[in-house]
Amino acid sequence: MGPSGPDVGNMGKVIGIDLGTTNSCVAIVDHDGPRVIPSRTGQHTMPSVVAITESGKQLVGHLAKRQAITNPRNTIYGAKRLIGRRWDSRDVQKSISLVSFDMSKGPHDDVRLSMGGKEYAIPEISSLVLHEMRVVAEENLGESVGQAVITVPAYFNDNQRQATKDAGRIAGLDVLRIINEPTAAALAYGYGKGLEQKVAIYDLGGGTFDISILEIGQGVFEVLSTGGDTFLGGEDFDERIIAWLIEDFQGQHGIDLRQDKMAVQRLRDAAEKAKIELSSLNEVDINLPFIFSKGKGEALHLQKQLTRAALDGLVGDLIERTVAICEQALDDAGMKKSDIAAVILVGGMTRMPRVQRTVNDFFGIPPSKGVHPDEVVACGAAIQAHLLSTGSIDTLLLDVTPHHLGIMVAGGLFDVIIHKDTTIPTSATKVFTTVRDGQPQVRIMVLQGESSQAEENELLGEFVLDGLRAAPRGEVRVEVTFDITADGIVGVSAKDVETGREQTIMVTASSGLTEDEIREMAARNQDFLVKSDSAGGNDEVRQKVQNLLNEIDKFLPQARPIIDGTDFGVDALNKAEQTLERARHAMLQKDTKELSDCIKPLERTLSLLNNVIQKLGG
Amino acid sequence: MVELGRESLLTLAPVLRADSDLKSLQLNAQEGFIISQVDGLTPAGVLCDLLAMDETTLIIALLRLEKLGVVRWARRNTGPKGVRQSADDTAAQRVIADSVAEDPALTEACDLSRDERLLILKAEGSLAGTHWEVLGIGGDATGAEVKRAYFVASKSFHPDRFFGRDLGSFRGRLDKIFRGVKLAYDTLSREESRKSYHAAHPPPVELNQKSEGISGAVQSPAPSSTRATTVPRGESADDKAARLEKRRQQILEERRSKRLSKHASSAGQAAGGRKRKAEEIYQLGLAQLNRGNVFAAVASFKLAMTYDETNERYQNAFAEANGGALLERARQVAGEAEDAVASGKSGDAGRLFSRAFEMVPHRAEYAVRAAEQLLAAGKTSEALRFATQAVEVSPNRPSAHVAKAAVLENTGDLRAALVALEKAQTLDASDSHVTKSIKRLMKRLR
Repeated sequence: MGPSGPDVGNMGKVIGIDLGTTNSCVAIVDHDGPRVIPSRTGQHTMPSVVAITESGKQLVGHLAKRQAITNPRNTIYGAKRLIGRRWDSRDVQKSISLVSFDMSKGPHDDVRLSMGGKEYAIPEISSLVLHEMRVVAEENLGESVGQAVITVPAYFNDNQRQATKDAGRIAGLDVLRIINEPTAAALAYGYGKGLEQKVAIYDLGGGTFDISILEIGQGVFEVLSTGGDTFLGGEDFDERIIAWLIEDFQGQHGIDLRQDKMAVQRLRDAAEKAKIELSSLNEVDINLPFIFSKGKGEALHLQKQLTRAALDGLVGDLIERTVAICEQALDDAGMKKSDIAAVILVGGMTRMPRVQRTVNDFFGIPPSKGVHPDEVVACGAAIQAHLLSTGSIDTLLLDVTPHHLGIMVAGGLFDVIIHKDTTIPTSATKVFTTVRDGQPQVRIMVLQGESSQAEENELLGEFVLDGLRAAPRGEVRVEVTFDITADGIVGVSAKDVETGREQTIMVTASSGLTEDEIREMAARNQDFLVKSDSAGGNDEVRQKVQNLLNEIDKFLPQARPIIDGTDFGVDALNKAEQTLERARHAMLQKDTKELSDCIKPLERTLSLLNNVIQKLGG
Repeated sequence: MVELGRESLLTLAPVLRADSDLKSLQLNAQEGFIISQVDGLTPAGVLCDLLAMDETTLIIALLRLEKLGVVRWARRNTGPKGVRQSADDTAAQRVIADSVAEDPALTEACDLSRDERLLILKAEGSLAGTHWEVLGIGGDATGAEVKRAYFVASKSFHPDRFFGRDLGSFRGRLDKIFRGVKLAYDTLSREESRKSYHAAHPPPVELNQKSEGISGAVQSPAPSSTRATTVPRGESADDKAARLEKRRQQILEERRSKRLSKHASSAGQAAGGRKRKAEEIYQLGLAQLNRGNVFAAVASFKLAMTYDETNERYQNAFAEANGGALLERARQVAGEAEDAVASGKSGDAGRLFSRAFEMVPHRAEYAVRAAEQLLAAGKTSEALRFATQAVEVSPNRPSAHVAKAAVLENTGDLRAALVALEKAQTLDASDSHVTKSIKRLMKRLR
């Protein structure tokens, strides 16, 4: 046969990345089909958390998440909720008070975060997570990785997609395509099975809810409709639990824990843990000793029991919200519930029994058990990466444009030119006319969104068509053409029908970064990578010791008065002090061997302190 | 020429084995493509055309798939003309492929094989037709069949299929094709738009399955199951329209069964359906022939034969149309050969003339020209073969004997050359050139 696909040999391996709000996952297609690539420590997913420690070390993933409690201001989570958004958007403004790190307005009306005393753009934060996924893949495969397909929620607008793509570039990846998470899930579910059916993908993840209806047949995966809610996910469930805990605590002690960022972070961890445990248990105990310190060694503890039924009561309305969105998606696809042959659950939240029951009740069929909710999206991304890079001819993904696309017309209204859920590539043309007598030019504002009010939609770009003939209003006709390529790139042109004069723009969605900035960040990232690679294991040990020291430092002042009153206390305290001294010295000397030797004694000290506080403190 | 074994396989239809587990096998993309088109009805020879693959590649791939347990061969009731017919078949496919051969895009610098270009150009050409033609479906296609045709066409022409390649002008063509396919699907998949489109653009032959669509999709093998269970999109939204449509279908069904009652009574229901389809396609072929589109007619008759192998009318129509198509094509090739002669490329000319002769083996003049040019190019033994064939085909044609004599003289067999010249002279005594040659040879012999 003729030439095969693009030459990927010199670009290294091609991977698929599920860049999640809370967790990320990387996968590849090899001769055994799609598989998730585990990290060195065997984990299949990695927290999408980035941090800079006091010592200036950059952390990504599990380590970053673990030290979040002690370092909340320099630990960034949920960056995906902010990516590609403008500073003054409602969603960003809503987040400012909710997060433990500092946010500020960037130079391009974008969002910047501060971490370790430095400012970061959101794509830069995401790039750190993507880069870590790349490293995980390279270590596992023993080969370089150059290209990737990255997933985003179906309702992400162009700016958010572009920002995600830019994050990939900063991480040194050639992003072949951004695809929708539910579509990826469907691909992983049906790939190579020769199915002919309609399926629903119900994706309730950490930060977002997505529903997509697809039809599969002849190896073609066609998206019929998509729907979702950007601010509905596991973290909202956590917030409900946190609010419940805080309210209760305030009732008991008259203290608002929201004022204490570290307490909130501890509450957040406990809430998430309780929520997860309630998927398999009927009740859990939430225990947070020393959640609040009144000074002078006096402390308050939080202790609470949460049952599955109580949790259902706290979050029932959130789950019900997804039902209405499912109904809308079915309507958009022109389908009845009974047309759906399989419902695929995606995202950690779908492990919750109440969620499964709701889905079962709505569609009238039990959800499909065949796929792993945390890994299916990354596998789908890897499949699409494989299909594109090999020029496959037996499977094809027919994706859609997730939002209406159009322009602003007189009265600040949004006139739709390409409707949501239109299969791409596509194009459409509409003719407009002038609204004023002798109007010399028209301004074309390209918008994306669902609202009939132009200002409530996302602005993708704008341009001016001038040189119009002086004529009474309504006489000059301007033809506006929208064109979307298979890559999802939007091109808009406006033409004076009479003169043939034409203006065209490629709507390069804005991620909030300029081209120069992206290049600079990519280069900087490269520098950092070289450094951290050469530092290797040493840094990990140092980090571990530092974390332990931080923890002990935190507990020691509270434990001291308790221990002082016991017989064995003095001895134990002396020992602990010695251990700490030794560790601090090793930190200064950068003595790796001594540092590793310190880990065990430090861990013993920490657990001793914990025991003392738990048993005697309450 | 391909071996006999392969040639007979070309007349057989590969069938997907229901028991094979495709997922567990390591198939390559090409094999996947082949499987996507294997429907148990289409003979391998026709698949060559649908897949734009040459016979050898396809047969080798199918044999491997057979070994893997993915496909088996459907036994055909003794083919109408056996091996000979299949040779015609493949020649006809070449003819069809060659009908776009002059497009300059075929030589454009881009990252596509010739086969892929041909397929794309062909599909682009078919966009000029109605939506029915674009999707390759008939007026009676069910919602599921429309969808299937749309999926198959999308898979072949969606730009992602050629991701990352330099496509030159073909990028725009693919975009255009995909949009055309999408438009056809959007129109024909919705009850209302389909009805109004049907009224304005009736399907090519009433309710038939058209032979050549973009997708090359052959109707699904079990029409009864697809028809009964599939509810086309939008039907539920308009119950009245659905009821009317159903009634319309019933009336048409009755009319059809009346027309074809003699077939239905002699064979089972399924066989009757296939015969009906064959007849419709045959009628389409006749219409195409009347419009002067001989290549399309060949394809139609060929397809009709795959539905009803034993009908002699189809075989005759195919033979006749195929002969016409071949003659037409041979003329074009001979024209190219004359051009080569004019520019002094006797080797190319000889090869082109011999191709023309192979297309129409009763035309001795091409064999003569082939012999002359091959001789001039120094390929004596090939020249002798064509000269001998020319004499065999037309023993009364003096030029055949003259050509043979020239070759023989060149090989040193002067006596045989003299015999040939004398034969030419008896056929046409007025040719002074022959007389002169005889004299010259006799002198040399002495």
